Amino acid sequence: MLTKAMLLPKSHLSLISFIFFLTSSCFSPTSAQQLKEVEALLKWKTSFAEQNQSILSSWKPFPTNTTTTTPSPCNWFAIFCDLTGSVVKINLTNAAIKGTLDAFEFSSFPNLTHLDLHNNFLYGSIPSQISNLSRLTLLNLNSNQLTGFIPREVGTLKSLNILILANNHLSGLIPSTLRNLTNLSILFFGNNRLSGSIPSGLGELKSLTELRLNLNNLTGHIPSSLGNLTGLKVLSLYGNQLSGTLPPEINKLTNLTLFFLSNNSISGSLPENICHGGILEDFCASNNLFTGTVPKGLKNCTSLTRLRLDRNQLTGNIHEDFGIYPVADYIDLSYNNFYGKISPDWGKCKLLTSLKISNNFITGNIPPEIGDSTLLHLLDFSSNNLTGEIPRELGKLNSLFNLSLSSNRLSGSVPPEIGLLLELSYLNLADNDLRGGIPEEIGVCFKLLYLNLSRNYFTQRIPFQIGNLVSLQVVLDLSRNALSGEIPFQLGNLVKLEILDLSRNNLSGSIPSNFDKMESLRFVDLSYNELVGPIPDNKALQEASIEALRNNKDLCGNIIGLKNCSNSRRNEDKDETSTAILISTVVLGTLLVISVLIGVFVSIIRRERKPKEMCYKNHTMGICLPYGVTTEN
Amino acid sequence: MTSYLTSKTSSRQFRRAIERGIMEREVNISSVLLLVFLPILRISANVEVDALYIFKTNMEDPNNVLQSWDPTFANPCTWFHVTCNLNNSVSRVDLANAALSGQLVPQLGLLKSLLYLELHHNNISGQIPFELGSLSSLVSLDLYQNSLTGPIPDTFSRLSKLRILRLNNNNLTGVIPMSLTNLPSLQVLDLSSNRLSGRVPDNGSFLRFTPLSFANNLDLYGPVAGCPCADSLPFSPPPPLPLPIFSQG
Repeated sequence: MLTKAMLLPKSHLSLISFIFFLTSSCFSPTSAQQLKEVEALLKWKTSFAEQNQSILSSWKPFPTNTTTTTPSPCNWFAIFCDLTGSVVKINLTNAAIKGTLDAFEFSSFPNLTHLDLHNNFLYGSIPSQISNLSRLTLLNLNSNQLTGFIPREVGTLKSLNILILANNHLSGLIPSTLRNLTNLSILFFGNNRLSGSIPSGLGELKSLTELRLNLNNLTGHIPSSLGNLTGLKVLSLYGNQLSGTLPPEINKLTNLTLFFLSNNSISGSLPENICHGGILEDFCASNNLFTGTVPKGLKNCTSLTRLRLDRNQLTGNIHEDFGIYPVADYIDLSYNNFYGKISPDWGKCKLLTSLKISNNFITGNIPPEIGDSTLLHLLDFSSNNLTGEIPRELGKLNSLFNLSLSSNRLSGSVPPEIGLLLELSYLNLADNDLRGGIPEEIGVCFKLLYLNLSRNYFTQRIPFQIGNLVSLQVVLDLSRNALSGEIPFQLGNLVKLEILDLSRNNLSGSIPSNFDKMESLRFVDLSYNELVGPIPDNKALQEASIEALRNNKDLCGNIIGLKNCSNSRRNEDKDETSTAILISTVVLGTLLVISVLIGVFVSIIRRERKPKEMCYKNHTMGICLPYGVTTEN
Repeated sequence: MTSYLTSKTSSRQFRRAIERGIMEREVNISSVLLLVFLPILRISANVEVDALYIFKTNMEDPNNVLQSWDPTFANPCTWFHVTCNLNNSVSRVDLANAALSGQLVPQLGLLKSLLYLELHHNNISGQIPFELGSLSSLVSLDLYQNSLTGPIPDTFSRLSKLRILRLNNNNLTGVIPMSLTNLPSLQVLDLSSNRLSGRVPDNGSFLRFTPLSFANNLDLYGPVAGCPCADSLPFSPPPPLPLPIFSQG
C-alpha cells in the first residue's frame, strides 16, 4: 500500500495515511481500552456489598496466560458491545445489586450510550464523574435507593435522550444545568425528595415529550417557560407543594395526552385552551385550590378517558360546561361549587364506569338517561340538592356495585327495579324525602355489604326479605324513618352484620329472640321505638348502653337503666295479677288438652296428607324463603 | 430507543411500561417476569399498589372484576372493590363471589392498614401464605368457600386485632395451631368443612366456640370437637351463601 501511495500526490498521501491510522484504531480496538472496560466492570462488581450474585457469574477475570484472545466483556451478562468490541450498553436491571456507583470508573467507558440499572438496591449518591459518559443517550436509575443530590454534571451529557432517576431518595434541587440537554426527550424524576422550585431552564428542553416530577417536595410556581415545550405529551407534577397560579403559557401545550396536577396548592383558573389539540386523555387536577369555571376546551374534549377535578373550588353550570365523552371511563367532579342540572348526555358516555359529582350544589332530577350508560360501576350524586324521584331506569345499570344518592331531596318511593342491581354492594339513600315502603325486591341484591336508608320517611313494615341479604356486613341502617310493625325475625340471619340501627321508628313487638345468632354484631341501636320484651342473648345487645335501647315501650333485661324482666310484674298489683294468671292457665290448659285430643282423633280418621311445605329450600343450607318472593329479573 | 418516542401501542399500556421502566415488554410477558422476580420487583412508588397488582396478576379473572386495578396510579384508592382510609391506605378488599381462581400471594401481607379481607366464595387454590400473619390491623379474614389447601399458618396468632376468622369449606389440612387461642379479640371462628386433624384447642379465646366451628373435618378430636352435627342447621357459622338466586339474563 505504501508503494502505491508514493505514486499519489502528497495531499492524498497524508489523507490516506490519516484514514489508515483511524481505521486501524477503529477496527482493531486497542486491547488497552477493552482491558480498561473489563477492569472497571470487575472493580465495580467487587465493590458490591453482597458478592454471591450468581447472575454475574460471567463477570470474571480472564486467565492471565491467554495470548490468543484479548479479554472482552462482550459476552458477559447485561453487557453489549459495538462492532469494535467496546462496551456501549450496560443493562443490569432487576438484579438485586446492592452497592454504590462510587467504584464505577465512568472514565473507562467513553463509548457507553446506554446505562440502565433500574430496579436494584443501589445506594449512595450519583457521582459527578458521570459526566465522563459523553456519549450517553440513556440513563435509567429508576427504583433504587440512591440518595444525595442530582449532580450538576448531568447537564453536560449533551446526547442524553432519556433521563430516568425516579423512585429513589434523591434530594436537593433540580439542577438548572439540565437546560443544556436539548436532545432530552424523557425526564422522569418522580417519587424522590427533590425540593426547591421547578427551574425555568427546563423550558429550554425543546425535544422534551415527557416531564414527570410527581411525588416530590417541589414548591413555588410552575414556570411559564414550560409553555415552550410544545412537543410535550406528558406533564406530571402531582403530589408536590406547588403554589401560585398556572401560567397562561400552559395553554400552548396542545400535544398533551396526560396532564397531572393533583395534590398541590395551585390556585387560579384551569387553562382555558386545554385539550386544544384534541388528544388529551387523562387530566387530573384534584385536591388543589382552583377556582373559576371549567375550561371551554374541556367541553368538546372527546378524547378524554379520565377527568378528576374533585376537591377544588370550581364553579359553573355543569349542564352547560360539559359535553359528551364517548371514551370516558372515570369522571370525578366532587367537592366543588358546581350548580345546574345533571345532563342526560352522561348517558351517552357509553364507556363510563365511575361518575362522581357529590358535594356540589346540583339541582333538578336524576335524568333517566343515565341508565343508558350501562357500564357504570359507581354512581355518586350524594350531598347535592337533587329533587324528583329515583328513576326506574337506574335498574338497567347491571354492573353497578356502588350507588350513593344520600343527602339530597329525592322524593317518591324507591323503585322495585332496585332488585335488578345484582352487583350492588353499597347502597346509600340516606337523608332524603323518600316515602312508601322499602321495596321487598331489595332482598335479591345478595352482594350487599352496606345498606343505609336512614333519615327518610319510609313507612310500613321492614321487609323480611332483608333477612336474605346474608352478605350484609358493614351496616344496616334504617333509623329515623316511620317504619312500623314488628322487626322481622329473618334479620337474625344476618350473621355477618356488624352495625344495626333501627332507632327512631315505630317498630313494635319484641326483639326477635334469634338475634342471638347475629354473632358479628358490635353495635346496635333500637332506641326510640315501641318495642317490648326481653333483650335477646346477643353479646352486642347485652353489652349495649341504655342509650341504644331507651325510649321503647317495655323492654326489659340486665342492662343498667332497663328494668329486669322478672321484676316487670312486681311493679303491678301482685295478688290480682297472679290470680288472673292462675285462672287463665287453668282455662287454657283445659282447652289445650281438649284440642290435642280432637287433633289426634281427626288425624286418625283422616289419614293426614303430607304437610304442605311452607318454604322452598333451594339453598344448600335450607334458608327458608316463604312464597311470595318474586322471581322476575 | 426510538420505541419510547414513536411507539403508539395503546397509550395506557405505553404509559404503564414507561412507569415501570420496562420498555419493550407487553403486559403479559411482564406478568411472567413478576412471578419470577416476585421478592424483589417494585412496580410503582406505592407498596400497596405493587402488592395488590401482584395479587391481580396471579388471579384468573373471567368477570374482569379487577379491570380497574391500574398499576400506574399513585395509590389503589380509586380501584374498584378496594376501600381506603383517610390516609389513602387500603382498609378493605371486597372480592367475594367474584369467580376468581388462582393463588394468593405473600405480598398481601404488606397491607398494613387492611381491616377486612373478603375473598370468600371464589375458586382460589394453593396454600394460605404465612405472610398474611403480618396484617397487623386485620379485623376480619374471610377465605371461606374456596379450594385452599395446606395448613392454617400459625403466624395467624400475630393477628392481634382479628375478630372474625372464617376458613370453612376449603381443603385445609394439618392441625389447628394452638397459638390461635392467644388471639385476644377472636369472636367468630369457622373452620368447618376442611380436612383438618388433631386436637381442637379448648382454652383461651377458643372457649366460646362450639362444635359447629369444627364440624366436618378429617380427624379432629377433643371436647370442643364434639358432635357429629350432620343434620342440624348450624347457628354460629354463616350458611354458605347460595348461588345467585336469579340468574341474570
